[in-house]
Amino acid sequence: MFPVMKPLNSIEFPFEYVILPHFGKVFYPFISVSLKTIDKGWVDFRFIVDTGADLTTLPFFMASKLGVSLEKCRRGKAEGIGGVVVETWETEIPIRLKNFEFWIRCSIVEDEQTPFLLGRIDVLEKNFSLFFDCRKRKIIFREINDECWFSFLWRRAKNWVHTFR
Amino acid sequence: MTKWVNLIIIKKMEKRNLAYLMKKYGPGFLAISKRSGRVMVSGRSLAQVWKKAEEKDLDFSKIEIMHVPRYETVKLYRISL
Repeated sequence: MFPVMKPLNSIEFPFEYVILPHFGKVFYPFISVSLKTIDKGWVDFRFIVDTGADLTTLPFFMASKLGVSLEKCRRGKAEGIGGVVVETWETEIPIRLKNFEFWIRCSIVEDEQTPFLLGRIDVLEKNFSLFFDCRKRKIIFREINDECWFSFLWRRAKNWVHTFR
Repeated sequence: MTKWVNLIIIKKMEKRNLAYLMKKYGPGFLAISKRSGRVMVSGRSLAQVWKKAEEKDLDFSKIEIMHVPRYETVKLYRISL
């Protein structure tokens, strides 16, 4: 009856489902994220929102497309389910979530079959609050700007400096 | 008439149903059209998909690239540093 007021500082993605043989309808937290490639500009990739992942991960091929020189990156190791350890390269990349553009730290994984995972570092807590709204069937990213104006402006300024560096 | 409408709906659902994509293309990567959800290019690796999309001269601003996992497996992702 009354129009629902949607906050301007939030981004919404509809729920997506997969029907698995033994479990039935399973909710998959897919969201569309744009990455800045060196030859094609901003390209959309479908990421899985993984609150269990510390860091955003990308498959190895993305290093060449994002113009990341692996020699300059800090090398690390990532551990997944079953204790499988893979080599990683840690770097910083700009990402775009609809109209929000910001820099995040991410790791490029040695493996080619790694899915695009959106981890917690630099996304949750620092930039956004995450809600899985099961009633509206939406994933909602709400920008953290209402808590403290100073920290909000500081974050925006930092992102702005990053883009022109 | 309703039969045809149902068929169109089923076809549209199939395009958006990830289980269908997983069965047909998984595990691998896909480039899907942002507008229609149609699969434009598929491949086992991201490099393959990228190359095929370039060969087809696709507009990268109109496609979305996604990973398709293997069908009939439960996905457990956890990356700890």
